[in-house]
Amino acid sequence: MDKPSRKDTIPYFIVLAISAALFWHAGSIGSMGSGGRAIGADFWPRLILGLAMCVCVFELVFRWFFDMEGMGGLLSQVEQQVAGDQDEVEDEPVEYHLPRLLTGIGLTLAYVWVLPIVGFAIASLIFIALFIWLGTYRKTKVVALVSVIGTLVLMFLFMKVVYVSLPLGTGIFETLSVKLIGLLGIR
Amino acid sequence: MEIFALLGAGFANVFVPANLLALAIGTVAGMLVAVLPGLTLVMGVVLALPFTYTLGITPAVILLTAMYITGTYGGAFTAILFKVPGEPLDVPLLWDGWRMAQAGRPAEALGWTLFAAFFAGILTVSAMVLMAVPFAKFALKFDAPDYFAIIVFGLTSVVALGGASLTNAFISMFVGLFIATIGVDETFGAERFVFGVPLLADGVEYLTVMVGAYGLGEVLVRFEQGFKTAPLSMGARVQTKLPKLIDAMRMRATIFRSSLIGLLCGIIPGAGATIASFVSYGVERQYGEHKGKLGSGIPEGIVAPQIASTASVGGHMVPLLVLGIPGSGATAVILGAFLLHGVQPGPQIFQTQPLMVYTLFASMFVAVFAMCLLGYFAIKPLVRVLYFPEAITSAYVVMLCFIGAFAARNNLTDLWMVGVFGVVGYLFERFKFPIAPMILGTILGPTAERTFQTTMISFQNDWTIFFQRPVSGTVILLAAVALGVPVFKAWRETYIPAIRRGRK
Repeated sequence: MDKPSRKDTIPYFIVLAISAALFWHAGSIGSMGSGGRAIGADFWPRLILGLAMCVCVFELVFRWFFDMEGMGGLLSQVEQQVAGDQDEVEDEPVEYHLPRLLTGIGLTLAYVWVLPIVGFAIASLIFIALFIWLGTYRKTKVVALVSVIGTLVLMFLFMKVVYVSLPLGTGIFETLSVKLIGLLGIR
Repeated sequence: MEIFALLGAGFANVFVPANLLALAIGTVAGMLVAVLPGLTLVMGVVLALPFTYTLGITPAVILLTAMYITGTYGGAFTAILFKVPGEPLDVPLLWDGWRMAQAGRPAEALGWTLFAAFFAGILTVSAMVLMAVPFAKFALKFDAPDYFAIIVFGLTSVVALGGASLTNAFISMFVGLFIATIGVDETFGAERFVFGVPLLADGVEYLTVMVGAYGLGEVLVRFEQGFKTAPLSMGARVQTKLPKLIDAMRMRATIFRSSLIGLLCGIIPGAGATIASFVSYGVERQYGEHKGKLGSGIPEGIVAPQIASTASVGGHMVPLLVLGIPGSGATAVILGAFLLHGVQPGPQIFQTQPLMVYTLFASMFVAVFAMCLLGYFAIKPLVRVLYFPEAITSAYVVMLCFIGAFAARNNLTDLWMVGVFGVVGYLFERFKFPIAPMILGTILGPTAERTFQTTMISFQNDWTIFFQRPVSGTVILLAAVALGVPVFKAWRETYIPAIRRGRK
């Protein structure tokens, strides 16, 4: 078993802290069991959070004091053993690119934010084009074509076939969306 | 006899145009999803869910189940021909399947895969049909403590079997169980963990957790890496040469072992097709007639993992239909389809909706045939999707995630939930926390709490009742064993020596 670094313990500290805070907060949940003896609405979440804290403490103790990682599942041990004996499958080093990731998350959350304002058609068209472009695919004509056709196909499929009422936006964007769905023969 | 009459009616119902169309779409979509490396089987089934909202319950479940069973086979083509496993369950196929292809026998390797998938498909569906009714009759006697014990067993086995780290799997499960407590408590009507946010007052829909963590989360992981895929190492020379029956007969011991492993791994929640595939290969290497040659491109190395992974499907469907408890991500989505159509799977479903259940069984038989026909005749155009840029596929995966989540309740706030759980899913992947326990915790959490509270109210807070009843006592014991074995093994082999080293 490889020696873990201290940095790897951060997720367990975070889970421990959040669980402890929520455990404390669970005390304020109303509607306790009758007569103060029965199990109330706070019991189940407190049980879960308490067990989560115990697991985190266990992991932290072994990582900090014995330089060990947590134990693996039974069949995952078999899986690793079987895979480990084969020279054919090598794990390629994974490259992490934080700025790209943050851009992706930002783009996705921005899409959710603007969707009710500008409507599905415009928001999706821009989102698809930007996502593909930022995802390192740079053939401009293909990106443009895929985002325009894709948006129209999705609109037709979900609004006409599956009857999903996709957001139309507000103000001028709503007018645009209504004209577009008219052109597509959806309404 | 009644089973055969109902199955006959089910077969007749499968060929109703709407059901047949759903089956055809599910089979092709399952193949495509399995072939594309960036798209996992569970993610594919999740993305297909919104398309089933306007369908009837029967075609909806047929479509998703066909995708599920076909998805265990489609990835074999890319693993054998291009050394690109479409799914994690296809990894063992690289060791003998790809080697056989490299030795100039790709058609033979594909033939063995097709044989294995067909055999296992028919076997698993037959076993499911035979097991489901007696199991359902037995399950009708279950009470709240028994259901609670079964859920505990399901959750602990997911943690004990699947996780690369038991601690991480436990934390993932507790996160899922905690998410399920957000909103208004069913028993007491108290608000929990809402923090004044209206978004949280209705609770968290498990579909948004699933779509976010499985769909968006995995896309973000690939997005960060710039959608780098391995270059295809072989030309698309796609042909299938079926093995001779006598050669297949020589492999009966392998077939028997792998079938048994697949069915058992299917029934145990959390084990699933990937574990079945690896374990079957491992067992073949230990006990197989040609164990010394395994890994050099022999048929046993192809048949063993393929049979086990396909055979696991029927095993997973049994607890879903009989108890309403999904044991894997894909069956959790199928449960979602049932619930969205107002049908609660459980032992009563065999009495209230027998035609629907037997149509589903019959459709799985037909799906096995369709999958093999598709694999034999149409795989050449299907594997061409591998050349499609992943950035484009992923953009549409994200779109389908959002539309799917929105369409379930026509609620824009659910999209924020998908975004949040997309980031959570990414963090889980990044820090090696398994996602499946969280999803199963979110799904099974409300039932677990309800059955626990019902038991406590009915038995005056006597928690020992779980150990006093024969069913719940036995199942709790099984859960303890499932969890205790890896813990004990790791404790004895790793932790005690480490503690001793620490003392010195």
